[in-house]
Amino acid sequence: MTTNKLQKNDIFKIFKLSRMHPEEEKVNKLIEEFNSILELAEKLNEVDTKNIDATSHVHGATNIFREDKRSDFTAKEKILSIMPENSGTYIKVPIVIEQE
Amino acid sequence: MFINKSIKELRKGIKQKDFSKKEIADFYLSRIKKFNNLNAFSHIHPINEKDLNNSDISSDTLSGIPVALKDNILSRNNPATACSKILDGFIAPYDATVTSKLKSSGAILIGNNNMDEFAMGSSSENSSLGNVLNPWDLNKVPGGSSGGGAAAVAARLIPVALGTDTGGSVRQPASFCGIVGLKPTYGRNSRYGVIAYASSLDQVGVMTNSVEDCALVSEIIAGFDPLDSTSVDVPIPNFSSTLGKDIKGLRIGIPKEYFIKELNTEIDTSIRTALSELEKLGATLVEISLPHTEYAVATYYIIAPAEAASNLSRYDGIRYGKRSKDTEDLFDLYCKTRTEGFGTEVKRRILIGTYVLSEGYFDAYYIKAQKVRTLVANDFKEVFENQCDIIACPTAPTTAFNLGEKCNDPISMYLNDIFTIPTNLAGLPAMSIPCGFDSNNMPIGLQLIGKAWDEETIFKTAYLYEQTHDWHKRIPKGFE
Repeated sequence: MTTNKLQKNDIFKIFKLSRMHPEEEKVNKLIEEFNSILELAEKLNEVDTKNIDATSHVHGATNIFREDKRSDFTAKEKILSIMPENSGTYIKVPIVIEQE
Repeated sequence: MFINKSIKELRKGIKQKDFSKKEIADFYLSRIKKFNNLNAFSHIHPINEKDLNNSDISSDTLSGIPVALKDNILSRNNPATACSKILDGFIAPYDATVTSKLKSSGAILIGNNNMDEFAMGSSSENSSLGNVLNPWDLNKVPGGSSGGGAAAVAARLIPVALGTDTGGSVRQPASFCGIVGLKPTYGRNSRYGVIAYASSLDQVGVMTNSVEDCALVSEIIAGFDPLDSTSVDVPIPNFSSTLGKDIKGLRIGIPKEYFIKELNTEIDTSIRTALSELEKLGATLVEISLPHTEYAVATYYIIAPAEAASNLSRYDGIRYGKRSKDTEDLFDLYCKTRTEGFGTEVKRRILIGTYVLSEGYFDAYYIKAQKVRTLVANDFKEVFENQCDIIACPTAPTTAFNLGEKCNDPISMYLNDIFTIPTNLAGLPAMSIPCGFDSNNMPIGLQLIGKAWDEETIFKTAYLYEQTHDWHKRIPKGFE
C-alpha cells in the first residue's frame, strides 16, 4: 500500500463507479476528507500480515444448502406495490436498447 | 406509573389485573408524544385491540410489553427507511426474523426509532429526519447509530428497543444514554429482514434499562435462521437463568490498550472503581494485552465501507425505494436517484468502499484489512484461551459530546468507536452497562466482552455489578 493522494479526476471516476453524480461545490472538501481517511487506512502498513489468512466470516461459516423444492410465492401484490414505477406485473425502466 | 417497572413486574401486574396491556401501551404512547422533542422515533405504528389481545399472558414472555425497532429492522406493513430519503415511503412487505420472534412472544410493536442513515454514524446526527437529542443533556448527542432507541429507553419512552451494532452502534449509545445494550456473538441473531450495512459485522442487539430485561428479550430474539446464511446453528441459551449466580474465581482481563491517553480521566476513574467492585464480588483482575487494538479503527473503516458500497448498490431506483424524476437515461436514473437519496456520510462511505474494492486497490486495502482483522481476532482468542474468562474496559473514550461537535471531522467521529470496533471485527459478544456519571452528570458505560457464544458470563457479571448500584434506576431530569 502506497500513499495515494487522490486528485479531482480520481474522485470523479469513483463517483461514476459508485453511480452517483459529484456535487461540484463539495468536491474539494471531499478530496481532503478522503485523503485523511486513506491516511488512517495506511496505518495498516505497519502490520506484518505475511502468512496471515484474510477473515470474511469470523466463525468460519460454511455454505448451507436447502432442498431444491418448489414453493409458492405469495407476496406478489406487496412486491408490486413497492415498485417506484410498474406496468402490470413488470417494472418500468427507461429504454436501455437504442432504437434505430 | 409504569416507569422503572421490569418486564417481569409488568407481566405480573397484567396477570393480576392491576392494569391492562392497553394502559401500558397508552402510557408509553403518551410519553412518546409528550417528549417528541427528543426526535427519538421515526414512525409510530397504529395499535389495535387485536395486537393487544393476540397473546397469552400466562405463556408468552413479552405479552403486552411495548417494544420499538430501529428503523432498519423490518416489520410487515410498517415503514422501514433506515432514516434515508432513498427509502422514504417504503413499507416492509415482510417481517424480519427478530420481529416475528418478538411478535410470537406477544410484544407490542409501538414504532421505529430514529437512527443514523443506514446505521452509519456515532452520533445519530446523520438521519434524514434530523438529529436525536440525549435526554441527560439536550445539547448533547445520544451516540449512534442506534441513538433513537437508546434515548427512548433512557427517557423511559419505551421499555425495550432493538438496535443494530456494526462497530458499536448499540453499545456506544447505551453508554452515552446510561442504559444496558448488548451486541451478541456474530451469528447469534438472524439478520434476515434487517437492512444491511456491513454484513460481516452487523448484529441485532437489545437495549433496556436493566440487565434482567436485556436477558429476557435477548434470549427471545436469538437462534439459528435458515433465511440468514451467516446465522450459526448453536443451541439458544437461557440467559435469564445465569442472573444471580456468583462470579467467585472469575478471571477478568483488563486490556492495557484500552486505558490510553485519549481516555477521559473521569471515565478512567469510574471504570477502575467498577473493576475494584467486581474484585470485591469475587472476581480476579488480570492485566492483558490486545496488541492490535490500535489498528482496529483503520481496519473497520476499510471493511465496513467496502461491504456498504456493495450492499447499498441495490438502491438504484429500479425495484423499490425512491426514483428520481426527469432523468436522461438509465445511467442518469441510477446516479440521480442515488445522489438525491443518500446523505453525506453514506455517500462518503460508498465512495471509500468503491475505491478500496476497485482494481489495483483491492489487495492493498481490502484484503490487507481482512488480514489485520484476523490478527485482531487472534488477540482475543489468545487471552481467552490462556488468561481470562471475560474482559472489562470502557465502552467509549468520552461521555456524550456536544451536538455538531464532530460533524465536520469524520476522523474524530470514527475514533470514538475505538473501544467497540474490535469486538465486531472478532465477532464477540459485548455489553455496555451504566457504571456512573461524570461531573456534568453524563452517564459512563462499562463494557464487558465475552468469549464467542458466551453471553452467559457477560449477563452473570453485569447483573451482579448492577445490583451494587442504582445507576440503572436513575432517570434524566425532566423525564420523571
